[in-house]
Amino acid sequence: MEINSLYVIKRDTGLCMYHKDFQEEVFDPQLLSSFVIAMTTFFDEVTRSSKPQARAFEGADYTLIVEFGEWTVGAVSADKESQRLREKLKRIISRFENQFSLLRWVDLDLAIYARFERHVIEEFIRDRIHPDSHIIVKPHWEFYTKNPDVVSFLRLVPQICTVKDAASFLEIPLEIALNLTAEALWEKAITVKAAIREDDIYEATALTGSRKSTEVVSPEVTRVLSQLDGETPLTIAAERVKTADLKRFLGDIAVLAEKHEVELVSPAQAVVVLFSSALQELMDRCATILGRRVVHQMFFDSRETQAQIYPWLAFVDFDESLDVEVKSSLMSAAGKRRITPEILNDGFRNFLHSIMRNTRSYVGAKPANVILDRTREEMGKQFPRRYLDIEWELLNV
Amino acid sequence: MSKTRRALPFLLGGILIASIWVVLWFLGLDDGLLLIAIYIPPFAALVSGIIGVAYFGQEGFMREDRFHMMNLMVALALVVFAIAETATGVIGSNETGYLAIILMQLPGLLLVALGVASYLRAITEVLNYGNDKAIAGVIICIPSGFSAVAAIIMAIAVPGALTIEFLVNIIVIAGIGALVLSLGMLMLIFRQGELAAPLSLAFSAMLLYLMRNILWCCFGVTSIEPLFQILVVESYILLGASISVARGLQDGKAEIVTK
Repeated sequence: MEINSLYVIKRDTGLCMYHKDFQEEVFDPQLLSSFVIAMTTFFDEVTRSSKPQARAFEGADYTLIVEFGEWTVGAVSADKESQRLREKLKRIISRFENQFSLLRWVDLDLAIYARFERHVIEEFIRDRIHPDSHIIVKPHWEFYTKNPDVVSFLRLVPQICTVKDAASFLEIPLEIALNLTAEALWEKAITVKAAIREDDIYEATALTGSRKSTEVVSPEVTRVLSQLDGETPLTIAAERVKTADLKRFLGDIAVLAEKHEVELVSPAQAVVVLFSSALQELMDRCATILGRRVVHQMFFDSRETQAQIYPWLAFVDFDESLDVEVKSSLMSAAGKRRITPEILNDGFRNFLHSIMRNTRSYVGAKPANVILDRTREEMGKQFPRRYLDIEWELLNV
Repeated sequence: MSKTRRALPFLLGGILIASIWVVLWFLGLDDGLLLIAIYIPPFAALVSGIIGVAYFGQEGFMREDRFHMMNLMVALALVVFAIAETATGVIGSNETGYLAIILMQLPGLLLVALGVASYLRAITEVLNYGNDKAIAGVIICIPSGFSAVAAIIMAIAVPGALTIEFLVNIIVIAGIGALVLSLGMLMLIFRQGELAAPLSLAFSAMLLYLMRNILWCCFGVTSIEPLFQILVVESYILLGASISVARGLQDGKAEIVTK
């Protein structure tokens, strides 16, 4: 959920009383506030409703979420709508109306920007920062901020580090480091990336990336890039490049991500990778017990049944050497978000369950469940955080 | 064809041979019984073995597919047993051939042991059923212990009975006992599934085979005694049935049990 801008607009005049661009400026605030008021009034007139009807306006790559207060309208421009974001916006409007209630009746300079900043940071910035989040200090950050606390904080921390590392480096409590990071982010002196976890799946966008021709590419980095194929979790990639220090490896990935040489795969693609890995583990175990022919038969029988409900399962194949192969068309659809993670999750779960039921008929319930448990354990090693996204208890037979 | 229906010709054959044997025995037709004892065991082993090799030999040795390997090994063992039984028929009338007869079973038994042991190892690994070495220890120690106790009792009760032939037979019995235990363990693990069918047939087959060797041990060197030989004929037929059912499992669709 990427938030771009926040606007608080006075309903009766259409005046933008407060706005904040969290990233680059997209809309002129006064233009946008006029648009929001005009559109909401239009909908109310058309529907002859006493209650405001408009909820959101959708653009090509953004959604403008609208919430109404007693005398203000709040708007947030974000990449997608969510209930959580709506709740945040409601709280912001409510706080604004309480704190600056006088503005309902008169126009005064109440130093809104300085006084309201704390609430916005608390609502929209602070909860994006976690102890494992990566701080990436912008070049020439000193031009962005004059806040003395932030300046002294940024002077001492490394250019890329986690908040936790910054706290221990500066020997300050973690809570203070989190607050300072939030303030630095507010000032746009840093960017914050979600923590890179061992089971994240990254894809190399280019082997040369945005480096200049004079910049030398170390063989280690090239080796890392070659492993990030959009299908391999970082734990496995780290094993393949025989890295001794996983933390450093994750740091390298953070640097590469900052240079846009690698990018996190879409949630749908991550679901495909997770389930196809689980499927592979399960089929390998079944093949050891039942033999190749049986598992082959089992796979295609189950797929045939499930493909009637989830036609995209036809793009999940199982070759002679017992490798589960996800066809590029499905991977591409997942990458381009043409298929939602929820649908993929449902389809794969039913597929796995069908295979489990087949397995039970051959080996009995107890061994089948043991096979499932062992598969879950193995998946826990490969995807330490995300393996629980599979509802294992529903797969028991 | 249903998975278990493949075993039907074998089972009918087994029942037929047993019935003929009973009729001949009641009628006291010793010549007929002797003919059965000499000619049927190699024939039963050969037919079962050839069918097994035809089923599982097509894809050759697939070392990573342990189930396939176990069945192929058993099929090959049956062919080896056929040769051993032919030799038994030839030298069976000679009392001094006892040791040779026992030793001739060994290559076949070794093949069965290899197949079953590698499959059991794969299963314990996949299902995480304890330590491999501990399981192997239990499987080897129990029959070895029984055999050792039997040998000691025999040595005390019947002085002079502890011949080299007897000792070799006791060791072979311990080996077959280990095989029976392994198959029993596999059968127990998969008792609720369709895999139990071929495994229980193989278990019964090896149990009958074990009984013949125990009878040899108890009643002496009458290697082509019709009673002993009928046991081994049934054992080969059951092994053939086991291989056929295993093949049926590989060819048929799973019959999904919905609860």
